[in-house]
Amino acid sequence: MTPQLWLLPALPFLGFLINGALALFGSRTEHGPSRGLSGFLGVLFPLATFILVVLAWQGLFLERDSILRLNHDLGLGLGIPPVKPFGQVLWTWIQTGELNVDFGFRFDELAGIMLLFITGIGTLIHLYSVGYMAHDRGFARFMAYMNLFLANMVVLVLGNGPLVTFMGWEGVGLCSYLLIGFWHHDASNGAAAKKAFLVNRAGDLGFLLGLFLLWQVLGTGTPLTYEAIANWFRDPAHAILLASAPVAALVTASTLLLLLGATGKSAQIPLLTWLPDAMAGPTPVSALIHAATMVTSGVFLLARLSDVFAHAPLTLEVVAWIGAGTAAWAAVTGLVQTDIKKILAYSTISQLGYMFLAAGVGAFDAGVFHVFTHAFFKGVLFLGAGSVIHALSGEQDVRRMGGLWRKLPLTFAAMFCGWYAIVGLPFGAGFWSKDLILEKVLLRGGPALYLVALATAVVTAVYMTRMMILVFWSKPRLSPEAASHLHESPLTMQIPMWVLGFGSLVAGFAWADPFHLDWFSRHMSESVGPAQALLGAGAGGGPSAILLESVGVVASLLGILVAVALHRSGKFRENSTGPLSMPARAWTLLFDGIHGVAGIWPVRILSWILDNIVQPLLVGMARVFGWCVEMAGGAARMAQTPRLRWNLGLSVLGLVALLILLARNIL
Amino acid sequence: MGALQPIQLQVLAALLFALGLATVMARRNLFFVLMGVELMLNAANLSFLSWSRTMPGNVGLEGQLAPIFAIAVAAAEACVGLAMLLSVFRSRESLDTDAFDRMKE
Amino acid sequence: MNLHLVLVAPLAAAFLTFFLSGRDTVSTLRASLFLALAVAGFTFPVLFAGTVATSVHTWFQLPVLGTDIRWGLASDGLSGWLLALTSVLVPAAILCSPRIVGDRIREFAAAAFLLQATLYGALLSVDLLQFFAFFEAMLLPATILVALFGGRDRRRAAMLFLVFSLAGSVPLFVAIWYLATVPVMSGRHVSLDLVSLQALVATLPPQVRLRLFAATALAFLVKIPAVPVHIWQADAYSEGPAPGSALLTGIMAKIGLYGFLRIAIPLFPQEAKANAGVFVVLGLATVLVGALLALRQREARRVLAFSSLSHLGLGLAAIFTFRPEAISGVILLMVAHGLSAAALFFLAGIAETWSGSRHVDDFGALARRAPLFSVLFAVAALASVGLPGTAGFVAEFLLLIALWKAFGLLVAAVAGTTVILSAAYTLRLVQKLLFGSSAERNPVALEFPAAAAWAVAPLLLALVFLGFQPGPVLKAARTDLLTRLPSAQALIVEDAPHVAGR
Repeated sequence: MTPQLWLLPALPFLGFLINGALALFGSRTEHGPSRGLSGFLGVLFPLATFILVVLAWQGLFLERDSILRLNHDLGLGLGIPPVKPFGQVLWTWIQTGELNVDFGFRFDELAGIMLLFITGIGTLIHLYSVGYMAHDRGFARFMAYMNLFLANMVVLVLGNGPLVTFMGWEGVGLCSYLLIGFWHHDASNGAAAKKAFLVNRAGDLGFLLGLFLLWQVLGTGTPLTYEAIANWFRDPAHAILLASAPVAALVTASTLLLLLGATGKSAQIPLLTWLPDAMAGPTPVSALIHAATMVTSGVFLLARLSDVFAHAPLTLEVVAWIGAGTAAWAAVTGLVQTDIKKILAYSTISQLGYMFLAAGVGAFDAGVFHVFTHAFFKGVLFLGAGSVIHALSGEQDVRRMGGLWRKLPLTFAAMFCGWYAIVGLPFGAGFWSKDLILEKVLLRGGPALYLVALATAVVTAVYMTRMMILVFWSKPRLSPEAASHLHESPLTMQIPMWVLGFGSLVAGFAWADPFHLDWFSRHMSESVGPAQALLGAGAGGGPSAILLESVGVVASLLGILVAVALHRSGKFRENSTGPLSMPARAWTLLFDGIHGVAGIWPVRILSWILDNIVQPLLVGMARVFGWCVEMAGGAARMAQTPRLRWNLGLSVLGLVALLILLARNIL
Repeated sequence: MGALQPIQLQVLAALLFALGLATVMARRNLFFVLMGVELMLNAANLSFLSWSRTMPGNVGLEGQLAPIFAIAVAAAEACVGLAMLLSVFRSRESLDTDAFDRMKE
Repeated sequence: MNLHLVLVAPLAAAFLTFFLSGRDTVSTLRASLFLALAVAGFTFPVLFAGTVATSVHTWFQLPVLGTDIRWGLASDGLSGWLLALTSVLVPAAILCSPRIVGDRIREFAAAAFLLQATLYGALLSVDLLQFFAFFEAMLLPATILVALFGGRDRRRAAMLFLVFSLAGSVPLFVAIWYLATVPVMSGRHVSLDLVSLQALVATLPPQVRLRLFAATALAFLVKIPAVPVHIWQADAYSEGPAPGSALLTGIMAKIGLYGFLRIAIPLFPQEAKANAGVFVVLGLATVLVGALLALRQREARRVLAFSSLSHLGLGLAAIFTFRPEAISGVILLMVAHGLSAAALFFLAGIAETWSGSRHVDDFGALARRAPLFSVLFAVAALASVGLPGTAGFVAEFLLLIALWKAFGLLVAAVAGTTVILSAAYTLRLVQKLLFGSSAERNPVALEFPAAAAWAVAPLLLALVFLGFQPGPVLKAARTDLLTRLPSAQALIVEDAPHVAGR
């Protein structure tokens, strides 16, 4: 039975087409298209995709199961093969010269894991959107864009080669643009959307250039598919080649450029300025795209190409420091924000930094594990924030919240689970994944990186607790209108929050070494195992896991205590309103400033010069030329004078000249 | 005083021609233009006659035939010219050549 | 497959339009559309036939010198796709024209058909003078389109366009004159068909060849246009009628690139290779200048004009890498850009009739008031930016690969900045047109003529289709060369399969 992998992206895409048509045709009517139909379809297609993903998992075990059955039935002693990825090539995409790229999909464990939570959490967030966007005129359009996003994300993860992934990569960038600027009557949303798209595009250029160099390393004999790339890099015959200086330099250059692409999508230094601005979009967008799925594409790329990165130790060093630096910077920035969504945005950047840090020390599986758990707890935090905003009729400033744990108990419970996980309190999802990363960093990254990561963990606990305190536990500071309309969210918004909240608590058990639960790492071993083996990623060695985990818990508790202490001493300025203070704003806009100096202002200056100097110069030259021709014409016109005597005179002159020339034998 | 050199008479004729040309070009009154034209014609006649008189060798009287025809033609042309001048004056009310810069009228 | 029929078809259509009623616009529109589609029907078999040619015979001979000027028509993959593109854009232009040209549809259609006929002639020509005749003849309907149907400043724009193009092609004419007369003096028989010319040019001394190459290249540079002879473009495209500008940018500009591929490079291969750097620099400069200036424009169509400048500059730079990816990529670029730029111009024209002005800030919130228009405009804009899934991406990708392989990563990176800059100026345009809040409280829905939707939608569908299945276009570069029709394909040296790491 040929696997029909094309259904996985096709179903959400179909949802996009249908919802888009509904939106288009419903735009003429008074009230807009039918919410029920649109919402139903909007949730149906992702759900169907999720079910298909679950079914597809079976395909991985097909060969193994059949061998097991043979062993059992016939008493054979055949060796049990590992799980076997399967793929489907749809058609030849680009074929010219030496380039031969197919358009196809490949389902392996890494893709399978990613797809499970992408489609699963995606379905939940679609359901949440039905409740959140119920009163919005553009409901069908929203569901259409969300479905399109899911389709592109599936293509990104499922693509069998970097170019197919790139198609999904840019596609999710497009959907991010459309969704951030969803409420397009406000021009500032459009500006934020454009910024996101452009910063992403800068990264995309790096992606493409890195891909070129990678192709150069591989040679023409190797097709540009992940399978072929992995096999090529794992082949011991190529080890000598890869060790030689020129090829190693090529690999390093290629991976650095690919890293640039990854930082663009995952909002790391230097391309991170778009994510906080992206909060201008509706909250489900922030939850799905800017927390759970799209921003993890960078980490996914690193894991996918782990074999390539394993041969570029310099790049991995850079990755680790970028991750650590971003995590630290973003954690501090989150501490001074006053908008609940911005706090969560910087938190996302910070946690993504952890994932990059993990990849940078060669623990790709730990990084992807953090992606997995982060999707749950950040998802629930964002959904909860959306619920709070919804309850307060649009208030987003934490200084005007407070005491909501009593008024919004269900939302509070869900957010509590998320907070518990992210801070790293025992046995929550974040506890397992973050401490795993810290352990790997200490083992392989060295003490400096470990200390930075640990300090960031403390600051994370501080600002997350600060948020919880200001929103839920402190004294109420609500504005009167908000307080009067306070109400819990509808069921469509509650159910996803419950599921994700529960997940925040238990998802970590997918990989809990002390309890010998290692489902996650087992299934990552095929994709990233060889790369990690190359980098010497052993388990064990160094301080015991229990000790490290205790240190982690201590760090979290320390952070919580600091936050409580700061609150008690009134340092959170919760009674003030108005914009951020000067130092806070300067720190927040640091990278915007760098972008401005390095990128935006040179472009502006250059285009000003072209527009006001070069272009008028060229036009002026053309005018001068025309003026000369006109002058010459004017001069020639004098011979066509209507004045009689002039005519006569000039004719005589011409005759005389002719005679002289004849006489001189010139003519 | 030696024999009459051809060049001397030719120079005279050329001078007369130049005077006539100058008159035609420089004067604005149409009458003077006509007078200039007459002068040019007569200068040409003079040139013919002087060639017939001063050419070395037995040239004969052929050089004196052309002026006879030329004089006759000049006379006829003078009449026609004056007639046209009259009609131009009637339509233009002016004898200034500079005023005649529109062919249409 | 009678190519003469294909050439005559648009001429006949132009002739027949004069029998249409000048007053009844609806029937005129229908009839012109029918004629345009009929011409398309004649044209597409040429594309499917791959490589076709008619017999070549002597058109006339120059007296005394005895130089043969030949007449023949031939088409291969390159010209086939451009012919098909033309035949698709002309009916679309006619469909989008009513609001813009008012009741002068008959005249507009006639001009469009004449433009189409001259384009066909240029694309099908086998002889250099024949090509030049059509190349120059193209200017007449183009100028008429701008001068008769355009905006306020149309006369000046048309004049600028005309004079620039003529000035640019004068050196080419001198070159043709030289080739037709001078070698005859040294006792050889010359015929001006392109294949014979290749042999002839090879025997000329190098300095002469260089000057001839420069002369030929200049004419095509003005056509594309390339920096620094690009000044006529922005005015002509923004002052002319939008469907007319669509045709100009969609196809007439491509004749410039076509000229390089068909004439300049095959006739002067050594000079082209030796001076490739100059053209790559010019091409890259065009990319950057176009993109940077597009960021500053205040009128919607001027943004689109500079966008065209930028995209075609990349094509120019890539042609001079002489790589198979580049040739396939340039053909795909021409098709993709023709479709997307034309679609954008069509839509921009409609938007201008609503707002009554060309200024970017005057449109206002079209997404709410004209949703179908907005969807089409957004898709066309994304195709222009080169979003994967559209043909523009495949073309850009191939061109960047070619530049990288031939000139290294830095050149490719500079060219690659178009990825970022094109997104910047296109999104700026999209946001000014579609988003934002309109001035009125209760915006009235705007009427988007169904004809325009029918015109633009197939173009966009083709773009998406070719984005996933660019095979037919990419293969066109490899069609067998005719003995009658040279192509830059001959210059391409297939690299030895490159070993890993080098």
